[in-house]
Amino acid sequence: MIPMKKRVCAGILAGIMFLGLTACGQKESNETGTDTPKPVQEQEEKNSEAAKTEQVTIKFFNGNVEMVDWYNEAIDRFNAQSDNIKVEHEFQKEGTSALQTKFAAGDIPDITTMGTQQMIDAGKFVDLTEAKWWDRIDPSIKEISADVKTGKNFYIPTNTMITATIYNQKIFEELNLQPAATLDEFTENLRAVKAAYPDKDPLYFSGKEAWTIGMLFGYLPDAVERQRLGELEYSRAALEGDISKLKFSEPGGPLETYITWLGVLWEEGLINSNVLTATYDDAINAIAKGDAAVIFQGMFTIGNILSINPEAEEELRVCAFPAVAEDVKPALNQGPDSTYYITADSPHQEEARIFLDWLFEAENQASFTTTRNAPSAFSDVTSDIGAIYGSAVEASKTAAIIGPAREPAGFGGDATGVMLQEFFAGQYTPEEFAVAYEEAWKAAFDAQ
Amino acid sequence: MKKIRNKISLNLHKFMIMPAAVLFLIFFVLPLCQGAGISMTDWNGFSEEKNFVGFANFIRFFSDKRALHAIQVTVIFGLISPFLLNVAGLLLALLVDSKKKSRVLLRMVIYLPSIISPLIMGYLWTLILSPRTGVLDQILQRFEPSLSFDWMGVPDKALWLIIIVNVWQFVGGPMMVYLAGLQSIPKELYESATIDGAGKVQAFQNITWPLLYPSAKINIFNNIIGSMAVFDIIMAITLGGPGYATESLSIYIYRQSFNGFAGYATAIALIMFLIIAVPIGLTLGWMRNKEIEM
Repeated sequence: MIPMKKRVCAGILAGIMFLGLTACGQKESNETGTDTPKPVQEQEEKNSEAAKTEQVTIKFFNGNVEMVDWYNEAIDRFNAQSDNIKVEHEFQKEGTSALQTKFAAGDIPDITTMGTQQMIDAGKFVDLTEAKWWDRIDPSIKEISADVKTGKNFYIPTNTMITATIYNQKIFEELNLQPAATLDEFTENLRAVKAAYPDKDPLYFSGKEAWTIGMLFGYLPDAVERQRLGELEYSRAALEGDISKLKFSEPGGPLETYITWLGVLWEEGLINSNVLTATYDDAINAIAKGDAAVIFQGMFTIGNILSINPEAEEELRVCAFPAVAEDVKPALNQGPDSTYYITADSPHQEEARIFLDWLFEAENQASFTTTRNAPSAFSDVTSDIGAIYGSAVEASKTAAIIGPAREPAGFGGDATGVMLQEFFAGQYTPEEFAVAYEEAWKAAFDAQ
Repeated sequence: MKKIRNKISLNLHKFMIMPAAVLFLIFFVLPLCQGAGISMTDWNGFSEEKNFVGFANFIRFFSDKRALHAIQVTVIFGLISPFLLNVAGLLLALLVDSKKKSRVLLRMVIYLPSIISPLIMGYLWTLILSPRTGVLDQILQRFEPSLSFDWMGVPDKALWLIIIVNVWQFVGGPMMVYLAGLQSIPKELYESATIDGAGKVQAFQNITWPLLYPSAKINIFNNIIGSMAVFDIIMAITLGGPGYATESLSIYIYRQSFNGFAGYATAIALIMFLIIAVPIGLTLGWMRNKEIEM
């Protein structure tokens, strides 16, 4: 039996809860129900005015760690001058994963700086092919930004980015070395650095973060067939899964040659001994402080390098990746950078465009370009990109230009980088690696 | 009237569990059913399109070498880590169950790492273990250079390293549970045992350990569940590498899920549920008859 006191107490508590709920309901009822109805015309005028001054919040999703501070500052400026549009900036380091979670959860941003082929295929983004911003952008950039499957443009790139070889010019000059055009020349350069500076790492790989070594497959061994077939034909073969044209497992082919070369560098101690656990930050520190002579990275690292050592501006320069086969040129990757997508499910697409109009103004883009260390895609934006990036632009004039990597879903830089980790850990011979790579590529393609 | 009132009183507890039951239904049972549904599709995680594929994802799992390797890593970690946690936890509990003045400080020092995020702790250990720049490596280079190498970069050592870090961090939890168990054992039992001529080892075998079974049960369950689902500490120390050497099933699920294979990832998650349930069930059965009531 429940004692009477407890029953009374429970009754009072239940009553308080119930009253609280009814009070909430009553308040709403008062607000809507007891007002005297207004004339229809007056109400419509009020609604129209409300629409004009209605506060809209745009969710801006960003995955660019290097640009977080710039975006924060720019968005503060925009919010201060905008009457009815407020932009909220969200940064996530694991950008694409976080974005996918958001799509699945229905928490969809209005603008994102990233997207994947699968998201494009799933119709998650607005077709921006006819957007007015393209009038200020070089047509060749529009072309390389187009979706290979549909030919449409689903993002606006405000910059272009080069990924290539960053080397310490000071060391190279001291040792009378020239940027290498072939793998053999590259090896000789590294040997010379090792002989002169035994405490330095001739080439620094940040293998713990697999993407940093995985992305190189697209620019070094793949550059051979990409040049032989042409970018368009290579992209088509990759999209159709035509392994016979991609030739990953060809005996003595580019992939096997590249892996054999890495094996030689590893055995001779020309790559940092902590290759499997070194992070991206370690690599940036090593090149910035002069502890490493060469790294393979994108120019987006330059800002970080200069923040560690401003004098690196005078010491570092950029050249193309060495050619993996004799019949092709040294290559570098040049692709769209700082991309903006408007999501198809955004209820505020017009407001998103207004914000992007403001963001893409020449003055803002000049500032963005300086911070990003990447040439602007806009024809009316000029800025000083510094001596390091200047050398990259110079190198791009003679090198073969390689576009974005073409790989099946699930076989991006992370997956290929992990395979390279396994190679460094002694799991494969170069021949076995090439076969395993092709099998993994095909398995990922079939599973799409 | 009185009959009805009595009936309500007798069944009142059933109504009282309703809020908890509804929450359990919404947040556990419903997602589990939804997960079972998704596991039979080829959903990529964000598309509107979901095609029914039957048991294809489950069949794929058993021919997926990487998944089977992830099970191996998970089982090794999930069995060895709880074993070490319990042995070390019990030994430390016996140590800090003394009357020494330093016992409070000792308990605090041992328990402290448990309250810090495994991710942060993992990053700290990365800095300690890092070759060349890590504290440990610098000490080893000075005193025993032959032991100085990239510990986290050797596939067959990296997992053991993570197990050691995990035990070091979380040993405070089992220790506290065992300590609570030790302190609830009546001192009279030990006095009687001493009068009967029992030594310390005999007292431990016949009094302490049997009366610690409930504590052991709690620790073993918690540690197995926690260890089988290990994710953060591995991500911080090795990111599942080198290669896939330390990739646990949780990490594999995460990677599959965000590579556009949400259906397959959900199927693996369900399999993982069974993998965790088996050792838990076995342990539960083994311990059921061992408990002694005081």
